[in-house]
Amino acid sequence: MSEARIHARGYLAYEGPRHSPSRAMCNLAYHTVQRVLGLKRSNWQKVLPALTLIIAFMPAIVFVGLAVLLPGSEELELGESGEYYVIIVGALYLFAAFVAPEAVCTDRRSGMLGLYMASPLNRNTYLVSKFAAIVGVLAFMTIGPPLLMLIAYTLEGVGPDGVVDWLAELGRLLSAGLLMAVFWGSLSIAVSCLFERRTRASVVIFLIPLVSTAVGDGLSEATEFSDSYQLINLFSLSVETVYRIYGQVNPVEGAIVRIDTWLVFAVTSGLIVASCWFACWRYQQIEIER
Amino acid sequence: MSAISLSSTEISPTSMVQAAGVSKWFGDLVAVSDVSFGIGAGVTALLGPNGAGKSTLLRIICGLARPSKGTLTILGKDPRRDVAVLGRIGMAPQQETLWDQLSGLEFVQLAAQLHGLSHPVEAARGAIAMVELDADDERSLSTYSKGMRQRIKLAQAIVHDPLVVVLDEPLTGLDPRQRRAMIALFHRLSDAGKCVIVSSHVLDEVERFGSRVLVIAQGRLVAEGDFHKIRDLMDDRPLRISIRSNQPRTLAIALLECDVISGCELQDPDALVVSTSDVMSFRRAVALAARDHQVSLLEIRPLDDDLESVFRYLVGQ
Repeated sequence: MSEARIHARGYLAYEGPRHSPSRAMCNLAYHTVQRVLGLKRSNWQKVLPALTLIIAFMPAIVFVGLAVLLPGSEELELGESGEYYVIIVGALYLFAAFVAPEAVCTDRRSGMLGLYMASPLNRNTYLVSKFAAIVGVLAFMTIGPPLLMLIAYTLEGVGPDGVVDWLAELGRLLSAGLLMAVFWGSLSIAVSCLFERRTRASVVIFLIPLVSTAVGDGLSEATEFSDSYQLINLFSLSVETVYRIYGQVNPVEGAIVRIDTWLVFAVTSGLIVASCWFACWRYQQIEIER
Repeated sequence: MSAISLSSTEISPTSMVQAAGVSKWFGDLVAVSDVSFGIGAGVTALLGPNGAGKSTLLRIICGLARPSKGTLTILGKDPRRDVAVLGRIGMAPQQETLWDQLSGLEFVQLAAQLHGLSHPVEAARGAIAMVELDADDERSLSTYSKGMRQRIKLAQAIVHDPLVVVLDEPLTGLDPRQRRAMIALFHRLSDAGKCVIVSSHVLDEVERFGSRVLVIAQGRLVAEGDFHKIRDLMDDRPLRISIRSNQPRTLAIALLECDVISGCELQDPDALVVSTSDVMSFRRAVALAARDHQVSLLEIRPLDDDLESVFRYLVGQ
């Protein structure tokens, strides 16, 4: 070649457009979902998320199988409406306790929180992204299986009668699923924001519903105001709220059946709002030290 | 989609980072005390012993911590309130732990995405190339050496073309060749009009960044500006100067008679080390004394106006 040329020297500036912080929130939520589910991580990290998803989906797959193989079977009734949430509440509980804390605890422990806060995210938008990621996965667990059953039952001719009933069932399904996801997700994030170590958060989240059950049951048995104290029981409260959305009576013995629906919803909503508020407040107080 | 942008008219090159009476305390512990300064484009070294408050100040600059008192603005705005400003800050933290499961490219790409770049992969590749790493290296960050981690942190700090780059101990763990490469990159950033703030303990390397320093000790700003000028201002610390000549004894007597040196020491047959508090008078006097006594001056060299000496005098270590 007869000539020498230097095409680029020094620092290359970025001249392209810059998106709004909402794009950053979406990206953070996406990466959080990947992290929580153990994607791109070792197989060991995938065990718990996979287990909770299997627990959530397996009954639905069984019911769909029964619907296909044994049309008209009485077992199909178990897979209908609010009762399904009684079956999968354990999966939600396990996910909230052992999987979801990964979303926020690790960022503080590793110092990634500092890097996030040095981007166009602030503490509130960061939390919203994390919350959306956790609730998104939980909603997949709560809405996915009933939706799968609804579609399968409809295709098998054992679903709701008519378009209106079908849409009403879909609405109840979405409402109940989202409410369960938000309920367990907000509890998980509120507790997780207290700890840098995921294990400690998991232990506390694991214990809170158990303690609430023991306290609720104990107070109900020891006093005359039995049903009111069952509102303390987080398992009962979340499931009862779903039954109220479906307009059904919880058949489980000792369930909250005599309390007004508005009170059940008020306590559930109050817990969700209080959890979210606490998480926001807590993050405003956190000093980023790394 | 609303774009984040800061037009060039909004940016004052003379004071991209402006602190006014900034203090930060944690309970009874005062980490930063009434610090005021202005930093423009170019490389500025933030120096101070361990626990001086450097990292706290860097966190305040990046909007990660709120000053307990006073104000700090980046490009004229509060970094804790203005997300557009946050988008123009790049930070490489000191800590080693990162999102270890990601590859280098994924990590830098995540930073590009968080800053809203439209082509995050291309931007990440460019930034990784600038720090002399391989963007196609698919290993996770957990397998990176300390030097590689430092460089990947730097890559994520510059991937979005920030105007203010804050680097906490970026040279730690780098070998001499990598240090030279990183310092060259700092100069390229500086030449591109960026405000580069570097905290470092490696003083001999810091001298090569440029001469502007901010020195923090016990939470207070003890000096700022060109460290050679800072040294000149230290009247209470006589400057030690080595003079090589063919008649060091004659020159020593002449300088003592002029009363411009406070002490002298004959070291080698041709070397004289003097102490002076008045550099300007000394410069004039040494030339006159050499002329009057027919002394040939071979070399005049200050011994303690390097950054390490300045730093030692300022922080008392």
